[in-house]
Amino acid sequence: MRSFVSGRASGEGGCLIEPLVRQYEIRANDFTHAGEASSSMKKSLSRLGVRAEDIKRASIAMYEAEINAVIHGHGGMAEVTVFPEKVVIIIEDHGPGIPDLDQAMVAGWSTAPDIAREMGFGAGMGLPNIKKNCDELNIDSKVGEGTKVTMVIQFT
Amino acid sequence: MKKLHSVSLIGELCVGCTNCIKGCPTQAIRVRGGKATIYDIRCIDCAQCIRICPYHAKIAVTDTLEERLAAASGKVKVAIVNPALLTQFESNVSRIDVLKAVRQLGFDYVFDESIGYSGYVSAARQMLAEKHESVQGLSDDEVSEVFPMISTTCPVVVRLIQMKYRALISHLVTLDSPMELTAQHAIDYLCLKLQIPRTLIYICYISPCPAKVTAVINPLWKKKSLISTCVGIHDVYAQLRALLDKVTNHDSLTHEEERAIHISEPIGLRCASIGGETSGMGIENYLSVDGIENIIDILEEIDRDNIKKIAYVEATCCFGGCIGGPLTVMNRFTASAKLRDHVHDFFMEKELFPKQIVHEDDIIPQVWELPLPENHAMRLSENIGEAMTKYEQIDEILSTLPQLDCGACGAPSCAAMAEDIVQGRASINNCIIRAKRKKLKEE
Repeated sequence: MRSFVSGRASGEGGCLIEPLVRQYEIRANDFTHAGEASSSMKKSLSRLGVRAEDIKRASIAMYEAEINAVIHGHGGMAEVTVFPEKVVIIIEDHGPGIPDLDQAMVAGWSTAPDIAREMGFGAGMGLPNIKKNCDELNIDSKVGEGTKVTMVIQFT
Repeated sequence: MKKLHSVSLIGELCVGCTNCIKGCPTQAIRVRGGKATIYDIRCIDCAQCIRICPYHAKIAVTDTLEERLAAASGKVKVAIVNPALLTQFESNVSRIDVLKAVRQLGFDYVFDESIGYSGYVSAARQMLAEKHESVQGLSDDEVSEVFPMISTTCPVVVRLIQMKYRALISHLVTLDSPMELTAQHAIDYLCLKLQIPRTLIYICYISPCPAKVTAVINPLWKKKSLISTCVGIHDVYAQLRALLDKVTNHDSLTHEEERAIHISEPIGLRCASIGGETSGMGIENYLSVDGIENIIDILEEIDRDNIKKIAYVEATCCFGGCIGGPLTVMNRFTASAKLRDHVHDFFMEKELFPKQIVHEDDIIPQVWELPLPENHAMRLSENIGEAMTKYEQIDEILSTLPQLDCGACGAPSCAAMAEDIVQGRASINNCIIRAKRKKLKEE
């Protein structure tokens, strides 16, 4: 189940237009609803008139991060902040964390469990895909505490 | 102001009920002042409202044949006939019989649009093969920018993608429509073979739906259609029936009729039904989908990259394909059986009327003249800052509405109403439930 909360973006400010903030709950191992948050963001960006190419990049990046939270992160929260010139997507979980980030960024490398692979996930392209589609990417992860992925997509 | 679409309302018959506003897949209709109005820029000509209206107040605006033929006196009058027309009559009526009758409506030449469908199918098959070649060795992502290719024979699908699935515009088959291909073929034949000046050629299309009519008055990828005017199949049905009852010489054509009537091989003819196009292309890895809600579901899947290993999507807004069009008369199941009969009869036709049959290789495929623009009808504002502000306002107003989607305010849903209020098209006082609840509280 998602919740929509309106509010000020954390740490950002100084623009004349109030940024648009929406939050989404991501449930662990919920493959039926996995991808709904990124899908919802996609529709919103479309209503705002963002160009189709930019929407595509943002939704691919967010989708991959969302799926990671479902499969690996024991669920989490997504916060999407839209500015007139960019969108900032933060996906945060309190799951196991990533022990070796460099290894995780290697294309094809995956720790997905069987149940995820049976659903068609686990190709090991998630993080590389995110990196490819973002203008800025920051992954903050601590083993035993969780992972926070911050993605910025500039509008062209 | 020039109307962009051919779906229209007969005001006197409209009672202001909620059927059409609820049935519209793009939420393009509102009831205001007790009458339905269509937001032209959001209309995709799917004709759901025409089908759903219990009072027959929604129609497709076409021209009357008598008027148009009178206005074209002195010109060479050409009819282009959607192949669905051929399936509208009983079992002993052949393709040639129908086209003879069409000619007797007042035309000099008659071309079956299946000629253009044959050409489209042949060219699309070639384009598909070329696209396959061009993506060899590319990554999965790059391949999914192009595949699946999406057919453009149904104008509703194209308009839907222009408006709501703009990232899929690159998937569309960039061929001119079967209707235009047939018109081009007719013009080439008349100008080059019969030396008739282009300016004297007047082409009337007999249509199964308003979408194809709109494609003539408001073309998608060209400045001007080759077609001069349109009538609906149901507009000419009664006259054709009367003419067909008088046909005696079923298996022969006069010398004049031989020159004047043109049909195609069954490949194009089968395109009157959903599934005909892809079976004519002889490909595997395709999807064929009919019905606007089903098409929306499939486009959603393609947009999310969930459709892999499918090379081609054939899609018709109308269930059954063009034989199920809103301007047809015969029910589409009987029409489908009739279509099968016509396909079976082809070998007999080939023997009796060999000169009438146009081979698919004789159609010169035309590609789009212009690129397809995006339709920003769903955008809240041209300016993203303003759009963001409105987006927030819509959510705020929506939270104060009852969330019942009852339609009493004239909008199909509370979300649509919230947007209307923010865009200045409606007032929150139009919400009857809210007003009633307020009143009850005060009492």
